[in-house]
Amino acid sequence: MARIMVVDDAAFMRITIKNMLKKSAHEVVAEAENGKVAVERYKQFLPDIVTMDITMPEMDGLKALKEIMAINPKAKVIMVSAMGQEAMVREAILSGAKGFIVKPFKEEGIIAAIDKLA
Amino acid sequence: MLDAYIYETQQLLEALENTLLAGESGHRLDADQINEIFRVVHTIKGASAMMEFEELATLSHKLEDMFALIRDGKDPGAAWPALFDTMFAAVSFYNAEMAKLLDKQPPNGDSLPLRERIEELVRLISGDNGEAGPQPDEKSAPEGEAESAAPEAVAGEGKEKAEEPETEDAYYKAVVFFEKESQMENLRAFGIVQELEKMDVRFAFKPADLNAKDAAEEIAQNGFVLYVRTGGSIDEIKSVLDETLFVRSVELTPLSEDCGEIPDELRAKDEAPAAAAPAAAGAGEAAAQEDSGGNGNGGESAPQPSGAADGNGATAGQQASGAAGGNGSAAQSGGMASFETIAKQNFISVSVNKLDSLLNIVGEIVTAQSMVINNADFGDRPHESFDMAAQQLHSLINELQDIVMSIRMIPMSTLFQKMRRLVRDMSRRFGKQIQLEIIGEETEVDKNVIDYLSDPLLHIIRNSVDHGIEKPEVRRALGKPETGKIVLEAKMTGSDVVVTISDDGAGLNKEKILQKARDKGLLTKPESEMTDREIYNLIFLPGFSTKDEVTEYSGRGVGMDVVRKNIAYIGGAVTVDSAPGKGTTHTIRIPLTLTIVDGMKFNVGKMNFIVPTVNVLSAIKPSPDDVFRDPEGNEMMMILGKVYPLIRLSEFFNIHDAVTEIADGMVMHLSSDERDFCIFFDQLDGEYQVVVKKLPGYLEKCSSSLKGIGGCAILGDGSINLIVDVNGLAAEC
Repeated sequence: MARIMVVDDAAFMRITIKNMLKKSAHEVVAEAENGKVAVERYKQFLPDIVTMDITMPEMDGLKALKEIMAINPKAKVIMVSAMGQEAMVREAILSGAKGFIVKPFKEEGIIAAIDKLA
Repeated sequence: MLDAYIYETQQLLEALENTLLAGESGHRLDADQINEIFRVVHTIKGASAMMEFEELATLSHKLEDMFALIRDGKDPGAAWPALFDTMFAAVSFYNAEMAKLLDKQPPNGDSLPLRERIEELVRLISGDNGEAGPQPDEKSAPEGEAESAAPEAVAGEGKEKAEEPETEDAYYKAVVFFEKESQMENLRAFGIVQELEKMDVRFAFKPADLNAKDAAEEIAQNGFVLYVRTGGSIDEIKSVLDETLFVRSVELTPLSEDCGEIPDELRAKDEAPAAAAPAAAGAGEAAAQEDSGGNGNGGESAPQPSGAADGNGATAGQQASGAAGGNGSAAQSGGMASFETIAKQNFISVSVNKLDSLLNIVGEIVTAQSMVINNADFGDRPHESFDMAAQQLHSLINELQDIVMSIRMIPMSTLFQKMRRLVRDMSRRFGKQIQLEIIGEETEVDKNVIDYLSDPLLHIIRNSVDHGIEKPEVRRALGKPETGKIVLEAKMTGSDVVVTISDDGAGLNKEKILQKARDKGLLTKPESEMTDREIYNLIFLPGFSTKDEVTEYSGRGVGMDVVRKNIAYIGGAVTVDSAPGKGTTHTIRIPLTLTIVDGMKFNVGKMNFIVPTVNVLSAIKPSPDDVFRDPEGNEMMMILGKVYPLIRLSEFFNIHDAVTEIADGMVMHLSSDERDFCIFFDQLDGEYQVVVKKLPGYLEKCSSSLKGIGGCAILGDGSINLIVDVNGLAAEC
């Protein structure tokens, strides 16, 4: 069982991911609505795995990823991207993201991804 | 889930519309606004795709692309107005789709016309000469060619079979397949490349150019083929592959050293192990061309730093292909029903009916509490500890009441912002220049109030735009500023929320109103006795409409009486004032959720009354010397050197057993919205918290005799009390 933090500026996406993960063995322990909050909550909760949206206000997911990797180089961050964000996904991979998932995704997809990292 | 989607999308649309409106007043969007809009459409796109609303996702994607273009420095220039129009149309489209969803209809609108407009805009914005538009294609095309050439080269023909390997390294071929719908397979492969680079292995792969336009597709179909040369165990590499997200299967086969399939660069002798990888990983055409040249000199073909495929150009290409891919990929069915069944979490939406019953029950509790605390069974016995307990109960109930009320309160802003769009659309249509100023949008009112206020506001503002504000040329001729102004204001005044809508237009036409009222037989008193205000307020009578023509916006003559009815339904009142040539002001007055009020109880004869405490300035034991009559015979009361009208409630309500001598009764100094005045009654009877009930329907019918009464309340002792309508009373003096 892994402790998950869900980062997304859209409450809808956070709820969706949380609902999807309910059927898994994992627990969502924290949520954040932008990168800045995500970094703070990361320090606070030290989740095992983070799902990170890319486009967010205040601080985007790339910046947050980099800050989280600086806090913990072994952090496991899965980027949540959309078609059209290839360049940013690439940068995320270079910055240490463990992988990415493309919206729209299905329950099996995100659970499998997290199972693999957990 | 669907609720959450609709709710959030509507919020986003509102934000989007406001950004657009703010931007349009400056005729362009600034960088922050562009970023904001980009983010909003991006979020809508993601959410819509998750919900499998294909049309919405596709449209959002188009919008996103367009704003990406603008964000990256393309100035729409002359296309700004068209851009705003298109964006507003898009917002309307989304809103319509959301409305369908709320209605449990599928969002089946066709976004094609909009998408075409957006495409046209994108052409305009990127410059017709194709400077930016076709750029992705131009760039990606050669890459595509290079890529298709590359694998052959990497696969090699094994010409130099004879070459002896220097070490005892083992060679492996791994074919990695990703999950079917994992998408962006090329980047997933790129992730593997990044991992392998951290290890002490040499490797090559195909497709060699992971940035190529069709790399993702090729990997999805044929798998990502890795050739690895390692001195150590293959397990390490296997575990890297296994741990990569969305890897479906890995086919790992050892290759013999002389196998022709092994790419040349893996055999090369003099390289540092890691160098081979960047050569191949570098997306540049250089690597691919070198390879296709077949000289096998991979080491030299690595001018780019490791993984330097920052791929700006390529990305643009991929975005284009992404658009196409996105369209197709969301085409799955049956999402809605299953989403609906998933429980909601973060917030819940509660039916207003439930809130209504909750409020009613709180009202009953207040009454019951008063029945217990003031219970006659206690008599005169001291009951100190009971009082303490009662006090605590009282404060808890107060708190409960506040919370219940606050749940129902929402700010006016949502409603007011809707008017911005209306004014914008209408002023364009009528060729008028109008500025809408909004004041006090943070004022909170009961949810019901917002619902009932919406139509009246729309109607009044439509009238202001259509009939009130003149065309620019007319205004110029009149010496007014060409841009007309409508001010929409909300504010709290004690027990009421007052919404005013004023314009600086032509004002109401008194003659025309009178004429119309005469024609329709609506006049109830001689014209000569009517004040201007009374004449203006004739427009609220049922069946009155001075409109000569019906326009799309000004409705079909249902007119202002609907406005009045709607507002009356929530216990409010609307009045209109006007000055010819200067403008018109509508004032809507709505009680706050007045279900529970603090009031002062008093009696006149055997009748019990309650007056809301907020209206009470003071209660006085009057001296007959302070009361006198003005020349017209109206009774007046002097308080602290000022004179106020005095109403004897016994006369006003026709109560016969009441005190008549000033010295025997009491006076209350009241403030209403219009004026301060005094009432004369028998005796003050303490302060109570009461639940306001509407007067029974059969009493409402004889409304003329109910002037000055706003409702009734039952007190803890079972007595019925009439609640004084202070504003109504003020109008009578």
